[in-house]
Amino acid sequence: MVQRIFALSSVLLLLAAAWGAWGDYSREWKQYQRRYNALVLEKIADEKVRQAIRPEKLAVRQMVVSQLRRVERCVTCHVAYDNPAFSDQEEPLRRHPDILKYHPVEKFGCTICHGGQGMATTYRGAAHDELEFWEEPMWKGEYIQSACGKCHKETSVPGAPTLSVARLLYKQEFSCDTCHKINGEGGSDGPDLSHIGSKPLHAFDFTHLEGKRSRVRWLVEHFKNPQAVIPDSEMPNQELTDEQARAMTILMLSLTDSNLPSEYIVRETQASGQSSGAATPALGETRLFEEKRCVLCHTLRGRGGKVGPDLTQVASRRNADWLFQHFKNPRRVVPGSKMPDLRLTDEEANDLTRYLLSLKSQKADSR
Amino acid sequence: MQEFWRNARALPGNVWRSTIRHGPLDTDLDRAEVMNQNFFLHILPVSVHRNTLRFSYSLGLGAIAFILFLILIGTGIILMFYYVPAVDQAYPRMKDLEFVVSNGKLLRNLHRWAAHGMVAVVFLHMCRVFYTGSFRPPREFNWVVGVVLFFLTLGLSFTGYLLPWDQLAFWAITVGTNIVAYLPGVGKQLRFLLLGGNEVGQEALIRFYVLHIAILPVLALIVLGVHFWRIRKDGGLSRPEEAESPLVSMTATPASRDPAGGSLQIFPADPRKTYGLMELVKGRTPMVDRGPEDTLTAWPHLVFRLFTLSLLTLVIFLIVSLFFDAPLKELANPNFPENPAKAPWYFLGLQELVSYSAFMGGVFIPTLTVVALMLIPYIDRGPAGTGVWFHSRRARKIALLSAILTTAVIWLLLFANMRTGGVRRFYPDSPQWLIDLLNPGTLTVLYLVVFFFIAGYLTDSLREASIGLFTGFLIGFTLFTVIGVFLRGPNWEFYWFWQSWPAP
Repeated sequence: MVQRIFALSSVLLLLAAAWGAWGDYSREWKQYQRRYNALVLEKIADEKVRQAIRPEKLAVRQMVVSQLRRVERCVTCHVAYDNPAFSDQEEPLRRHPDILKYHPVEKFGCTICHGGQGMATTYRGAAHDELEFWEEPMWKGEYIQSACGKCHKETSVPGAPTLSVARLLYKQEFSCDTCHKINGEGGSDGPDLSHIGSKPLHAFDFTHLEGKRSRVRWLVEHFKNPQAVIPDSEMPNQELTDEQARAMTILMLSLTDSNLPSEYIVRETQASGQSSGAATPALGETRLFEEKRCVLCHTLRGRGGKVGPDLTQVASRRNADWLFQHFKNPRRVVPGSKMPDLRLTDEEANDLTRYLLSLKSQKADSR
Repeated sequence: MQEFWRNARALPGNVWRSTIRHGPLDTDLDRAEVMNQNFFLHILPVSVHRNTLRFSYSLGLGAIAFILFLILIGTGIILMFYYVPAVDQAYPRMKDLEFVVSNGKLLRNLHRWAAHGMVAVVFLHMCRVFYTGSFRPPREFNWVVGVVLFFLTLGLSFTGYLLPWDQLAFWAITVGTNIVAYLPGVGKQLRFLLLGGNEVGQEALIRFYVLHIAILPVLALIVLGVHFWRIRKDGGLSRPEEAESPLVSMTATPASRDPAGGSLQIFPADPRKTYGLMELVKGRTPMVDRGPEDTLTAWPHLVFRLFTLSLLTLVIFLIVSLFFDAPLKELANPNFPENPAKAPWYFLGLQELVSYSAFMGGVFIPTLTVVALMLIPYIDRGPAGTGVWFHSRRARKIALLSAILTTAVIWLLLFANMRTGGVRRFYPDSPQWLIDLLNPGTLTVLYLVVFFFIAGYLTDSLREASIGLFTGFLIGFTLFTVIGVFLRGPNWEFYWFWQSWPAP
């Protein structure tokens, strides 16, 4: 009996060892390198040169980008990334687009832009698709612009149109900095967004969001309708279009805690579009009112939000002094107020006070 | 120069003979001699009792545990060439093993599964030794040595658990070391000593690494040495009295006759006889006053069985390692606790008890268990039941009864605790000691003690009562572990294993 078990175990051991060895020998990336070597030979017209060439040995290739503390093994399969003859090949043997000229691989690696797991040497391991327990996904389509945003802090980023639009939307269209801080700039009513791009999936609240759980989905849905995702959210629903929501999501995902060395960061070169509202507005209109998006929380002439009181008749209730003080510091005048500090200058506060008071005379006129 | 050519020609033979000093092992004398001529073989006795070779007796569990230990040392040493115990390198090195190192994935898998396997097998080995009464005198000391080895095994597994430095590792060790802190008086200092600080970080990693690769393995090998030495000195593995054929007194003179009449005097006393083969030491050997009919030479019977067992163990764990990957979650992140944060599986029974009461689950019950385990051979001194599994039908019945009853009691207590919300719900201002007392963990222990005494007085058999108590402990330990592993989800809420957990 023991002899039989011995015989069986010996055979099984041989088989298991052989299988293990075979599995280790037949690595996924070898097929791509073999194909590359074959294609390189094919592309050589000269017969003599072709005979003389020794194909490169199959090996794991890696790039160590020490400033970014990364090891990138993508080039093990993507061998042809810098071979001009391979511009039309199908992946993984396709040459990388020219943007590499400005972002040399030795200085940047691959994953800082593309995401994914650079330490891996398999398709699955590299997180081309979603990979459990790997939090930096590979960006698909326009979402790669999130990566641009990690270094490029200008409003207008070359080659990243969606990101650039998003930056404008953030500052001007939606005035997100009224309530949200990014790297110390902005209001404190909403959560700090400085590192939202690094927030792991499980830190997002999906209680009210059915379906597939992904950070992109959460952010997009939240932008389209904050209350649908967080029912008691005080974030006003600014009715973003799908495109705007995607753009803003891309912006959010670019806000990481990467701690990149300062030589990688590209700062604003010229002054970003600041509103230069210095002109005295005509009575009855003020550009500031639009800019600060008061109508998100306040109703005016039947239009607007319900968070704060209706401003149509405010002039009959409050005088100029009260309005001015309130504009300068809402919570000092009305303790517990939800209205954020808009950090208005005296001139701007005066401007808005005049506007609100003017509504009274308008109403009187229209009657 | 003739001499030169002569010696050159004879080289192979001479080399062979100087290394392997014996010829083919054809006679029993050869086979006996070789056990004391070979360094590795001399750890084994010259001959073993036939009961020892019976697989159904010991299930080879002790041997399997040792084989797994050797596998762990082998794979561990190779892993050491690639792993670096620094917080910024540990995790990337694990990835290197998975993707780059030749057979790295297989190596790591084998190490992990052998580790878990060893913890389980050592526990089962302890159970086997208990149920066969193999801790009875003169083997009490070896039992205690075994308990020490069990804790060294747990220590080795626990220290290794941290090394991958992923979320699983980080939070498991956080939970485990937090339980240590519950020890009154020294608890916090002990935790500080283990972690080299107040939190799990670089200091903890290097300490656990040194413990895992150096201190604990060396200690384990030394204590294992003692363990094997004791087996030899205690006369090999235990066996039942009936399995021994009596031998006529060795000191009988040729002229005297055996009282029973007609038996052969095998070893007549003779002053001229020398015993160059045997070691003249105190203690027992298989042969003391026993007939040779019950023994077999270790070579080839024991050696071949051990070798086959090694092969089989290796094959099984190798195949498991080819199919199942050891887990590696995200990089450890102190800002994002796992929910639920679970200790390694062998500590989850403990964690479950701690969830009821930190003191009871973390301090009292474990201490009680350790002390009680070590006391077993000093309370149950036999000799009824030594060398057999379940010496009587009643013993079997008591074991079964205890298993069923303990299972029922634990489930009842668990559900009672869950449904009612525990003491705190009824009596919000209740003092801590009342909560420590009235919880599934403490009440199970109380029930076990009561069971022991009732069973003891009813059967009037210490052995049977002990069997009942030990079975209850074994079932309880296993059940609480199962609950901790499979039935506890986020916030330590109860979930049946088919229920999905809410995402964090």
